[in-house]
This record gives sequence, structure tokens and C-alpha cells, in this order.
Amino acid sequence: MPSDRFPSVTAPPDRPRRLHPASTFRDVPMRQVAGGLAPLVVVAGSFGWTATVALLILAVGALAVVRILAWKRHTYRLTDDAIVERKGVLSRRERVVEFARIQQVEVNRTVVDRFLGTAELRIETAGDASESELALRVVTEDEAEWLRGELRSRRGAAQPSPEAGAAPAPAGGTLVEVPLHHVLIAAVTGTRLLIVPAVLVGLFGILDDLQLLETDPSDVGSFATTVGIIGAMVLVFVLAIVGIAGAAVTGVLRDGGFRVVARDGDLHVRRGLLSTREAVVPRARLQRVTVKRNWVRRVLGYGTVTLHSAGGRGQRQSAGEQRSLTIPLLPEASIDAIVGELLQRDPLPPLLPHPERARWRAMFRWLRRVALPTAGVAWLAAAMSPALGVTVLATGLLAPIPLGVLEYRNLGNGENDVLVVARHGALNTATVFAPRRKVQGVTVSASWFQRRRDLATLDVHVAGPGGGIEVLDVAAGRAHDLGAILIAPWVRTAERR
Amino acid sequence: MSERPALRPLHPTVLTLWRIRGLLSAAPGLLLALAAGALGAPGWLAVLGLALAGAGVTVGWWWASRRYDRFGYSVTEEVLRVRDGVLVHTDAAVPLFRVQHIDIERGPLERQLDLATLVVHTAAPAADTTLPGIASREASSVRDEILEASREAAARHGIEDVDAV
Repeated sequence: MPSDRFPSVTAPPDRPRRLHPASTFRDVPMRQVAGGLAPLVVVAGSFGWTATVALLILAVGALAVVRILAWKRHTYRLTDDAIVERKGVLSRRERVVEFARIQQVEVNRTVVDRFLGTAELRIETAGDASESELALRVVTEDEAEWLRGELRSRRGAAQPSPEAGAAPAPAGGTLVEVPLHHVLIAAVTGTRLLIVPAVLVGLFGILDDLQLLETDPSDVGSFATTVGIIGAMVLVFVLAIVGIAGAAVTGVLRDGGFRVVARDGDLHVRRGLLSTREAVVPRARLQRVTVKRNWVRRVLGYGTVTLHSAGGRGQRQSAGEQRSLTIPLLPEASIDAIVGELLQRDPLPPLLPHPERARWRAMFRWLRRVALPTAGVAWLAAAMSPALGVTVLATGLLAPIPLGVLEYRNLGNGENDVLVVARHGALNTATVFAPRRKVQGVTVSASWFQRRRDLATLDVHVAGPGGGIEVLDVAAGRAHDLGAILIAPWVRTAERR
Repeated sequence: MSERPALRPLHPTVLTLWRIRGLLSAAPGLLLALAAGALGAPGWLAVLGLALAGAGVTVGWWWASRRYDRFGYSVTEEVLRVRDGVLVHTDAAVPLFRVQHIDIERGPLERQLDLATLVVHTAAPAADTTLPGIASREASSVRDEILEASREAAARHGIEDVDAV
């Protein structure tokens, strides 16, 4: 339902405020610079230095004028129930973000920011991917703090949200504090790095094979080849070590000092050693909490927890600036308590197993996933030696059995009066929790194979990028019942609390 | 979902729409047959093309009637429910107070057949629901019906629209 509410004009509006003057020279778009310099390069050749220098001054001057104008025209002001941003030199743009719609507020500070005492403030609403959020770059640190406080208090004044009001005022304090050695472990056990041990194992395997080769010292060519191969492998080994070290350093710099603090119904998530990021998510805006355990971390007894708000994606989103907030590493024993604390529901719903017949489906899913790659690799291997091809094919066709058994064992779903949860995954598992009051809709789907075994998949949709819980291969009756529970009586659930 | 209200079917003209789209799937096969004939390729290639085209039309025809039989939707006090799917059966349910806005879309073919498609949006893109093949003159009344039910549900639950997420 589109809302027609706009900031009331009658209320005494706060005066429009400009950003920090540093906005003029911080983050100058490289496109503008390149556009200005490209003609100069052409001109420099044909005219003398004097002309070039004159043009350079002119170009820098023009850029400065544009930037200063942009800074002068970029203002924001607070009204009773919204923040209004105006910007643009030639085409003017006005954005109104109602306090009540704010999903997430972030204060980001790079190293330079910390030196200058400035920060960037970003405000996320539940817009879709095409809508960029409101970003105030650069403001002073004090202003960012003040603004965040204002956004919080005015949101409360503008509209005591019924959802926030339903929950008792939560106790404040630090919920999570990740020690540095955990951040380090997290950095070197990331899913992307899991390929490294596999590569190393493979390398040692080849080394073993090479030693079996009977190298004839008189055959210089073969000797040189062997040395070359060993050299290449040493290089790969060194690169792998460097890669791990690099991941460790970037991980520690990014996630060092990670902590989650609860304050006034908000979750403050702070992280970073050099560049810092501090995000505030109102607890009532938490859409989803995901617990991920990749196999290395499971062996070591750790997992990660990610908080998802419905904050829009923005166009600039890259892997590095995901809006979700991931607690890099938590000891297994503390995960349940922390998830319960974050979602304010302890104990968590128990995970019910899926019917036995889902095991066949799990194996079949894995078979479907590995069949084609296996066939390709086996075909290539068979070209080298038929025996190798058969081995590869057999491995590929048998692997789905243990993987399917694992996957089935990890399948689970459950609900209590507040939360719904599902878990899936074979080697790396993901457990997704969502508050029932955040469920936007459900879909029960059943393929032909599932219908034959009276199974179905229940998709529980919540807002936010990639949002949802997938309850895979559950008994068809349970899928329909759980779906009905999740959408129909949520009102009664709210009253019960 | 537990209580199953009678499902409404789509307008029968949507069968024509889907069958025309099914006919289009015969195009690659026909092109193959034509090209084979024009370029003097071996006869079996033309036959293969015709067979593909024939299979496309048959499957498309069968698909359209199966989907029409499967498809059904209902708007109750609380829930919009849509049943769809031929090979993969789906059964979607959206609490009405979650509805954000509704689009009415009409493609060129749909305009010819006096049909419209309703897309019901919620805050979760995955929960968006599509009702294809609503008669044009009923489209706005179905939309208003859903919006009205949505407003009533929201009022009943005491939910401010801005807090739907």
C-alpha cells in the first residue's frame, strides 16, 4: 500500500545543513578526472608546455567549481518524521526518507576519515536493488553521531512502532565480542580459501608421482622438465601461502574489534581496525539470521552468524560492501545462545528431522549436480588412461551416496511461537532463522519426483536481498501445515506475547 | 491452505493465449525444415525439423490445458492463494496485509484477446504473485478486491502501512 504521508510542512523544519567541506575533494569520481585529462594528453603533443599548463589549470579550476557547486547544493534537513536530502547541480534531486521506513543506519570511516575526524553516514530503506540508499559523504564524526541519535529519537517520536512496542524493553550491553584470534581463524577458514588445502593435497600427490619417475641423470631434457615442474609447484605453494597470509591480513583489518552491542532496542554492530564500520539495525527490523558452518569450521568447532535486515541493495553493492552483517566466528557452544539473544527468543525451536524418503532425494540431487562435470572429467581422464577414466567415473557416481546421507542428516525444520527455522547442506551447512512476524508469504512446490514420494519444498519468503528460508524435501502434509501456520495465525501469535 | 476455499479459474481465453505461445515454440523446428529444404540438405533433416515442430505444438497444446486445469486462485479475508504448475506443482499463499502494490500488465497478444495479468507485490520479491489471464474488464475489479481485502486485514491487525516490513 503506497503511503501518501509526506513530512508535514507546518512543523518547524530544521534548517538545511551542508556536508563537510572535505566532500569537495574526497572521492572525486575518476570519470570526471579522466574526462578532464584526456583532451590535455592530446593537446600536449601539438602545443607547447605553456598551453598545456594553462589548460591544466583551467581543467582543475573547472573541476573545482563543479565540485564546490555540488557541495553547496548538497543539503539535508530533518523534519518531524523524515530526512530530506537535496542534491544536484544541473538536475536537482530531492529524496525523502521517512524515519519509520529506515531499516539500517551505518557510519563508515576510512583511515583518512579517522585522521580528519570525518565519516560517511548511510541510511538504508527497504527499497529494491534499483533504488540507492541515502548516503551522506562526508560529514564530521560528531555530526554523524548526532544525526544517528536524532534518527533514533525522532523515529521513536514519529511513530511508536507496534512491533517494537510489543517487545519488552530489551536489556542493553555487549552481546558479542569476537577476540582477535577468532577473527584470524575466520580469515583463514573462509569458504573461498577452502580450495587451498585441496590444491596443496593435489600438489603433494603429483610430487609423489614424480618421485616414482625413474629420472635418468644422463637424460638432460627429462631432468630439466622435472626441475621445471617442481619449480612451478614451489611457486604455486608460495602463492598459496601468500594468498592465505593476505586473506589473514585483510580479514583481521576488516573484522578486527568486531562487537555487537544491544542498546535501546537497536543492535549496534561495529567492526574494523583501520577503516571502521558501525551499523545500527533496529531489532524489530531483523528479517533473518543465518548460521553458516563450513566443514573446516565445523571440524574446529566454530560457525558464523549473519544478520539480515531488509536494507536495500543499492547499485554499488559488491562483495566487499554487503549490507548484511556477519559475525566472523563464534564457538559452536555459544551460537544458539547468541542467536536466541539476537532474535530475543530462547530456547530456539528444535529441528525436526525430515522423512526417511528424503534421503533418496538428497542423493539424487547430488547425483544431478555432479553427473555432468563427472562425465566431462572422466572423458578427459579416459583419454590419458582408461583406468583413470573409470576411476573418476566411479568416484563421481558413488560420491552422491555419502553426500546425500550427510545432506539428509543435516536437513531439519522447526518452529515455535516466534521463530521458524530450517537447515540444509552436506559439508557446509546453513541454518536460517526468521521471526514469524516477518514472513511475507509462503510457497509449497512439489516436482514430479517429489510428488511420487509425497514430499514437497516449502519456501518461506521474508523481505530483503536474497531473502527466504527453504524447507527442502519435507513431507507434503507438513509443508502445507507449516505454511498455513506461518501465514494464518500470526496475529494470535503477536497477542500471545 | 489448511482450510481450502473454492479456487477460481482463469478466463478460458487464456487457453488461446497459451496455445498461441505454444505454437511459437514450433518456429525453430519449422525454420530448420525450411532451411533444409531451401539448401537442399538431406531429407531426414527436414523431417526432423517437422517432427520437432509437431512435438512443440503438441506439448504446448497439452501444457496449456493442463496448466489451465491446475491454475486457481482465491482471495479470502486473510490470504491470497495461487495454485499453479504442471510438472512442478506450486501452491503460494500471501497474507493480504503484506500486499504492497498491484500491477496490471497487458502485452500485445493479451490486448488482442482482452486479457490482463495481475502482479501482486509484497516486500519480498520472491513472494510476488502473478495472476495471468484475467479478463480485461475484470482486472481492475479483482485488483480493487485484493487491495480492499488487504486494507481491511491491515486495519483488523492494527498495522501501520509503513511497518509492513
